Amino acid sequence: MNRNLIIRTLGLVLLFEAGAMLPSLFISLYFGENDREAFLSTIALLAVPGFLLYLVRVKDTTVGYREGFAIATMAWLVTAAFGGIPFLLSGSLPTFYDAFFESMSGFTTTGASVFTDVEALPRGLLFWRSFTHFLGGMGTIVLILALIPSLKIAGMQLYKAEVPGPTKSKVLPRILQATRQLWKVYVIITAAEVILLALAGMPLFDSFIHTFGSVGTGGFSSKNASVGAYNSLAIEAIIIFFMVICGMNFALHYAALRGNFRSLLQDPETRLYLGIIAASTLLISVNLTHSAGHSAGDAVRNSLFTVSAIITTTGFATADFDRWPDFSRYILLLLMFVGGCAGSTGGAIKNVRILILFKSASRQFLKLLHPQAVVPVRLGREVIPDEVVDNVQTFFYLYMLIFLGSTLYMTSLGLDLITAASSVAATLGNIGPGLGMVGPMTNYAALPASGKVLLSFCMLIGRLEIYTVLVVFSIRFWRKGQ
Amino acid sequence: MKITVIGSGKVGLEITRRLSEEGHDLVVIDKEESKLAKILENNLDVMAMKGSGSSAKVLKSPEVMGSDLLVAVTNSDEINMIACMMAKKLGIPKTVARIRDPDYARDLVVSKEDLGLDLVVNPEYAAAMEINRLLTMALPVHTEVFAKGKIQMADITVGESMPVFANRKLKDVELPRSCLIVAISRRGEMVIPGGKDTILPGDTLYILGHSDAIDRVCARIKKKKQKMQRVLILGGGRIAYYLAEKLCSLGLRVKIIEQNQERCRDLAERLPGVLVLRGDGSDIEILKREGIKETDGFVAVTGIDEENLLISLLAKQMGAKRVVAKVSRPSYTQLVERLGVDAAISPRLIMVSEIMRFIRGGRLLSLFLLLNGQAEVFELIVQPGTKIAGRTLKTSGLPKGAIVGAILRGDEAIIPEGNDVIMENDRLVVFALGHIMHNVESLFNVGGHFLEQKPYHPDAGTGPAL
Repeated sequence: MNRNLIIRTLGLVLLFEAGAMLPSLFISLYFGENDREAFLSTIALLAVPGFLLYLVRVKDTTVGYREGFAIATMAWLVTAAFGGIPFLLSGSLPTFYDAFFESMSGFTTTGASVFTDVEALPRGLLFWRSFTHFLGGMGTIVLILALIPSLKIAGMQLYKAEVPGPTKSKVLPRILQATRQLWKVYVIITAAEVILLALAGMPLFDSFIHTFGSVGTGGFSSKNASVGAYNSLAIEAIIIFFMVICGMNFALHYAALRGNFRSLLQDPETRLYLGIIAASTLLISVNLTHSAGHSAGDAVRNSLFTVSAIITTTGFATADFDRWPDFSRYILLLLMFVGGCAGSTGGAIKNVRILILFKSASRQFLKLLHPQAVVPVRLGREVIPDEVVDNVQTFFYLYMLIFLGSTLYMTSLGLDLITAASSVAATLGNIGPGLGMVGPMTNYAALPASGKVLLSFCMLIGRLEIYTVLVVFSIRFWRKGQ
Repeated sequence: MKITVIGSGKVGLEITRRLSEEGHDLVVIDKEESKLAKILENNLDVMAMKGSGSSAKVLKSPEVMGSDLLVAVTNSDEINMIACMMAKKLGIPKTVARIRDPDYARDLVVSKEDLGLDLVVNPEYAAAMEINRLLTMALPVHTEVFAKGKIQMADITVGESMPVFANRKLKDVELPRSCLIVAISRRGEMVIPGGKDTILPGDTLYILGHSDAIDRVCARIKKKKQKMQRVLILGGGRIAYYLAEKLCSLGLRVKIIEQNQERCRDLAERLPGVLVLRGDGSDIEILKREGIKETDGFVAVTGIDEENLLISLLAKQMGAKRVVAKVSRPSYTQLVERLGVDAAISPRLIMVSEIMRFIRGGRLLSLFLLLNGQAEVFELIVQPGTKIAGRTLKTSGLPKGAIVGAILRGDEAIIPEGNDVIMENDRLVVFALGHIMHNVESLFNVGGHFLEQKPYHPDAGTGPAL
């Protein structure tokens, strides 16, 4: 393994994070709040070792499979660990694992919080918390590579590790070009949402916070009652639109911005995704009006917002969906597993994998009837190679295995089944709020320490799509000479 | 006319033979001496040249210079294309290329002219279209449209249960006045019938007439509506690919059995609606398992003539309703239909007829081939000053084996009798047996001239490029 390369890249990541903290520092200075020292010290803590590591000499700049996985996993761990330090130093959070949980939740765009009262937080910290969503949404490592091409580190392995989805579609022949273009799209969408939210009457600072929360499909809010606090139809509509947009494949947005709307509209994954949103909204609205006595208008408005927030894995809330009937709650729990589309900022299993799983199952039936049939799995007109189908099946298996195992552990801590299961589903899928004790109007503060650590790892595993993290923790990975 | 043929494989040889018989001057070019030797074995009076057909040196040689037409039929699509492009640049006015790769064939839709190709023939595509026609037609009827829809030709396969036709003399058959039985195909052979001939069960009748009259005839027969729904194709070559694609687009359910795993994958990826099975087609078990009994059409298009024949017979016995086999060797074709296989297709013959048709070209408006080119139906316009204009049909000197099926004068369509007069600018629908084609042509004075109009019928299997 190319150790020096990994170390140098980590150094770079630290330097980048120090830079990324500057806006929060300026906000802190501008408002003159007490988190100033916390940011200053953290930036120093990041910059000094970052600079030293960056000085390490690297002879060979090729990133192999191992280096790719190792860099991705370690960089995310280190970033999250350092990202939590301001919370710790400012005294907002009492312990390291709380800070780590909050920071990991930010970078992995989960949006699960251990703050009991976010409205009491200084604005610098609030901004930092949400800014990590923005950074984590599109993946930071490849961004760093894209911003500093002089490093000449070929990013294919890292790109594979960071961009979600079973097949990685590149919009341009070179990874770094592609990354830059996708980030451009991302920034355009972000700017549009900030402007629209501000126009809709949200304070500018809050607009940034909620924009970061929705474009990164994270879900941190500056209000305890989340988006519900504004009680504005316009704001909710804008946020729904942007959450749904950011749950779609950015490569297709890139094509659409260049005038090719057809590939977006004809994409089978996008269609499934929108179909699931429509169907779930309908079912939940009917359930709310009939069993819970909501008015039809409220039911549609709240269910559309909640369904969008959950399936895109954002996790904003306008209503306490934990108090909804079980049928609605169960649909939401299922949506936590579906997630967004490949190549989006959303998490969880992703629609394309669900599609491939169904297609693969129907192929099995066909093969039972015609044992000699040669049938490729297809999405639309495109043929999915068998390796990808295998990869998706294993992914699903591992995803469920991790979910079941982690839920087992959470129940052993004395949590009730719904809390245990939904907390794991909500962190593994990078959603944020779950059900029961971790519902939308409560938070993760009350969970036992070891539970928070486990859930922090669930977030990382979910964000890097299982394989990247698990392979680094496998014995074979560290065996020499392989 | 001076014609250069590049490639003297089986197709090249057949074309050379036919063109030489029709009196053209031929230069044949091939890289391999052994293949050129075959020309001599066949006692053909042509010039054989050894060399690469795509090299400028050969194309510029005095033997080739001054050709009116270049036909490139080597095994390689690329060489054929390059040869035609260069020939065009070097001043040969017309070129014909054999191009078989489906990917090329499709691209040519936009670039045929740019490449300097006047005709692209794709034997597999043409064969597939012919098989498609054979499968979807004649159960019991199939019709083909001429003269902008005013005239139709129906082919009707006579069954025992068709009292209108079976075991009757031709003159006793009751047909609407504006219909004409122009030919009968009996056991794979095409005959032009006389009034005393008897129609036997199993014959295929070709009836030409006004569209509404033909519809009435068809309606009388179509009582038992048999529909082609399931087709099983044995062998996954290019013919299978084109055929499956076509049948699928018509909404039929198609299965392909192919041995080679790679080929199976390729087909399965290219043909979303088709079930591709990997297996040995000569294995009866797989045929049984895949429901050969309920199959409406069985098509054997593997690379081996004998296998195609035998398995088709087997399939027929096992209950497949209509069976078509690909038989490349022309000597087998006639035998096949006597054996009980419904039709035998020879891509090579189809392609040769297609090229011949192009060479004869002339003033034919639309053309339609029957039974591997044994007979042709074509439309032509009587040019002012031709021998035939002004005469009655009786005195026209039209050879036996050719029938004028319809005359279009202005907006009027006439099903002619002996005393009708052919006039200038009439549009004729003529039915003729293949071997007397050139007699007919000389009569109408259309041989050997090229017109700018494309002289072939777009549906008659000229390849996707057209």
